[in-house]
Amino acid sequence: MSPPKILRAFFRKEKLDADMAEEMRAHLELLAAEYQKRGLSADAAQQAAQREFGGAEQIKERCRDQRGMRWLDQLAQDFRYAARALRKAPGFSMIVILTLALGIGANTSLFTVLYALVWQPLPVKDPTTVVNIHQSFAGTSSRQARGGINRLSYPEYLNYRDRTQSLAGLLAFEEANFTLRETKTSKVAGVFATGNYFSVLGATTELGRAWSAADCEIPGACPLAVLSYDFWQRQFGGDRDVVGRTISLNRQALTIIGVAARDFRGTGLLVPDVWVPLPMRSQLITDEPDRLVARDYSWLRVMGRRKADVSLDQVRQEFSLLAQQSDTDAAITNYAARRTQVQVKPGAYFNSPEELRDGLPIAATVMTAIGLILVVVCANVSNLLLARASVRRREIGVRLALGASRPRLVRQLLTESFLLAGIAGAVGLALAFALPRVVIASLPAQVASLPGEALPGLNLAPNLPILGYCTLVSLVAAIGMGLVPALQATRLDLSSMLAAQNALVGRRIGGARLRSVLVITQVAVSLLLLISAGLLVRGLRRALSTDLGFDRKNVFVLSIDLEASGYDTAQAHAYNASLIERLGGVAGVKAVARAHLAPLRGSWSTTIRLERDGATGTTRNFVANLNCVSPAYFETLGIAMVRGRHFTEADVQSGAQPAVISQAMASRFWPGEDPIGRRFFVGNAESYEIVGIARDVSSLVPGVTDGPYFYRPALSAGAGGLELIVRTEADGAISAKRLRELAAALDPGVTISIHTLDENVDRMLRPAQLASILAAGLGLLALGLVAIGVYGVVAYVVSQRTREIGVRIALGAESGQIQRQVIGEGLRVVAVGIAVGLLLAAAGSRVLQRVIFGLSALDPVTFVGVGALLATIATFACWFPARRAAQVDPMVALRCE
Amino acid sequence: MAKEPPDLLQGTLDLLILKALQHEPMHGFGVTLRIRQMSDEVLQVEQGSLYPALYRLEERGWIKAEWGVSENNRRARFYELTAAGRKQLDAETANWKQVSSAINLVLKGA
Repeated sequence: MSPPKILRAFFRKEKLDADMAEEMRAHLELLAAEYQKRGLSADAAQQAAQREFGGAEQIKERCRDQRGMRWLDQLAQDFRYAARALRKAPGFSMIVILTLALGIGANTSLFTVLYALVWQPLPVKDPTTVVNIHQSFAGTSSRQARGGINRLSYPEYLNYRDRTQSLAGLLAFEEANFTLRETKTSKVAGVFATGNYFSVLGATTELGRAWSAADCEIPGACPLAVLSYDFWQRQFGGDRDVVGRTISLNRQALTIIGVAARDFRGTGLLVPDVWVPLPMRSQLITDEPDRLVARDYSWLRVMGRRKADVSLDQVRQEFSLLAQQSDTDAAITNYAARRTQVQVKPGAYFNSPEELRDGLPIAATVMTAIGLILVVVCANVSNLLLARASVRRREIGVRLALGASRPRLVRQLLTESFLLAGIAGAVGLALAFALPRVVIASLPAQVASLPGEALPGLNLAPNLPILGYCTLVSLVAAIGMGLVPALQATRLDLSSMLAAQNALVGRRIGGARLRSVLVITQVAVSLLLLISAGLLVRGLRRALSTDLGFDRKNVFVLSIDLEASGYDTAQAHAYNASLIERLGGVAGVKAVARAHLAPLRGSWSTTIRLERDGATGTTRNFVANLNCVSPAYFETLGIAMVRGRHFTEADVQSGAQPAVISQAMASRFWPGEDPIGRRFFVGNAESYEIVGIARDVSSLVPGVTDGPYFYRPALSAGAGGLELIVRTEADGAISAKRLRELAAALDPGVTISIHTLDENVDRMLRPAQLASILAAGLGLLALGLVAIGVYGVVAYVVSQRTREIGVRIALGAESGQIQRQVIGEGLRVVAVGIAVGLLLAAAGSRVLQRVIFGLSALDPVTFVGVGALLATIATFACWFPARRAAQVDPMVALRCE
Repeated sequence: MAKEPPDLLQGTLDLLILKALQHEPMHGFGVTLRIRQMSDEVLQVEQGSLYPALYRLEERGWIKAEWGVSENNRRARFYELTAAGRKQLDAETANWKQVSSAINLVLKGA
């Protein structure tokens, strides 16, 4: 059929139908005329003509079938019919749409966030040609890392940059925090970047210019800075004369040469405040050796831009080759047996192998949980649809009798499901746009304080993949929930259907088994989610209250960054001594200690070598955590000594190098021996003698005992980050404000952050807390859905058996009996669901344990408690319809249909 | 009228309709009359098969329809062969002759 005809058929359908009707009528009249000619009377002729003509409607149907694009006709018809059916049952439609929208919305929200984190191209020019470069290593090598082991060292970066043919440019950068000294001291988020950073990324400037490689021929001689647009507005009020002014970062004066364009948001999740040339790193970060020359040190994030005619695979091949060559280059690595593997991936925020490895299990778990909610939702809605289809059996039966084909009816019922899912999908999509923003807006309060006001650069705007995902989920939901009810509803035995409508008792309500299966599914999945949430919450509680090995009550931690405030070593030493003396003398302070890291403030590890009696050849390297502490540390934190003693001031003065090791370290490295008096080596120069063994603590992850750990005296070398641990007499003897005043009295320009140790513990557990909140929320959602589902099914069953119940009441059954029977039947199914759910949860908790820290497996309290909760809710859900059943008036029930 | 009219396959029905329309345009009723006439009252096409067939042929472009006035002064739809229809008629006639003579051959050689 030619296009014009198709359109005509579609749009002028009514006219064509009228034409057809008229044509048939004409034929009929001619037939009647013929009969009259043969001698019949007018009436008889008419009847004879009708008889001969046959069923006009069916003929018309068959004629319409011959018209092309029939399916389009039928689709439109189906939709109109579906819309009408839904409008007729507004309550039902509302419940279904809301339930579905929740499931679809949650799913799509999660996908939105995941997409923005992992797949979304970076907000730079031509993001499809940008690539991330990461390295991973096999073979023998030791490598230190700052920020991720997959990052590159500067020599490695230069090697790739100078020798690549397939990339138009290769840049490197590192994120760092600086202290800004203006009228007041504050922290800013910064990025060290190579000269080609801006040009390769195609970033433009609002004011001034960015630096280039030519500006920085000599390391350390290019004190320049480029501000971000937001920082420029915030800090300088958008002053257009800002170019040429100086700012002081980490006590280093830098000249502002430009302001980035408004839409340039950098290459990380947080928008930085300022970009500084990479060769200036040693000037700004003075407590570290010059990383620019360090080999085998991972610290740089490297990105590049492919040339237009080069494919990703070609880049990969080239870089593999370059990596192989670099392995044998002594200027790049110290380790001859190193084997480097290079990963070249399209640019994104999170795609280093390490990040993916850590993030993937968590993402998978959350997606599974949300997927399970969708399953519950579909089962719920499916049951509701089944119930509704049973109510329409008469209608469907009549339509089947009139000649509708079963596939056609199934298609029409499915259309109703699609319409429901479509509306729910639209609502869910709206939900998906609102939800992540709400969550992220409330996040900064939860996440550790960010410097400045850096905003997450996630782009959560609507885009095609998210739309596609939402549509896909809606389709899956539509089919998942609609197919079975549609098939079930049309599988009718016509005669029994018409007859059974009048049966009083014994009528088996069609589809009972299917409904039971759906309820069991809902109950089991909800139980799984709820138990997981319960385990998480309990594990969290346990972690919070476990004995961490040190006394964390009444302890303040003062974090002081002297180096950022421009102190050199001697000044820092004086400051420390002075401050400790001051604090120690204050009433209300019990003890003061110094450490490089306070408990739960991070970790620091190094490789050590053990002294072997006699042989000093190559021994295996071990890894241990360490901390530099003052002698008062153990006493201040209440860490007991198991054997030996802790070092004293006298030890430090005398120049010996004592160390205290943890129990774990003693049993791991010197099993069965007494390690007191032994030595071990760190690096090339330092060796330590063990003077004592301290009790194991959990200072890295709350609830998990630290592995091998040793303490060495806080050397005066290095003015870097300092943590003072102050134990106060009793709760509230001294306030944080007072401590800050005391420190300010020494030097008001030094930035100090003060927390209690309890706060630190809380902060470390924050992710687990978020996870438990999320899990609890999902669990409650699932619980609500189950309640609705069970109620719906039981209510439906009761409504179908009203007559039977009426008869029984008339025959003398008591209301209690009726109620018990209804509740009993409902609970029987729920019980099976609970049993299945418990099994699933037992299996699931094993899996979860590996992903989420702090989960206790097979906690009987949780399992029993949650099971009982579900059973109670289900009982209530059965009770309401049961009550209604018991109140059935036999006269009314038996009289009407 | 034969007691049990022989069944007509869809393809042959198309052929008969095309043939009936060979010489002049006709409405549906006229087509059934014509076919009855031409077949000596043996072939009686039911309305249930006639109209779908007419619509199908119109779909394929072998006949075209126009509104006109019937014998009893009523509006009726008249069908007419198109050029393509005539070609189709020739082709199907030839095809039918081939097939039917083949079948005859088979039946003769008991």
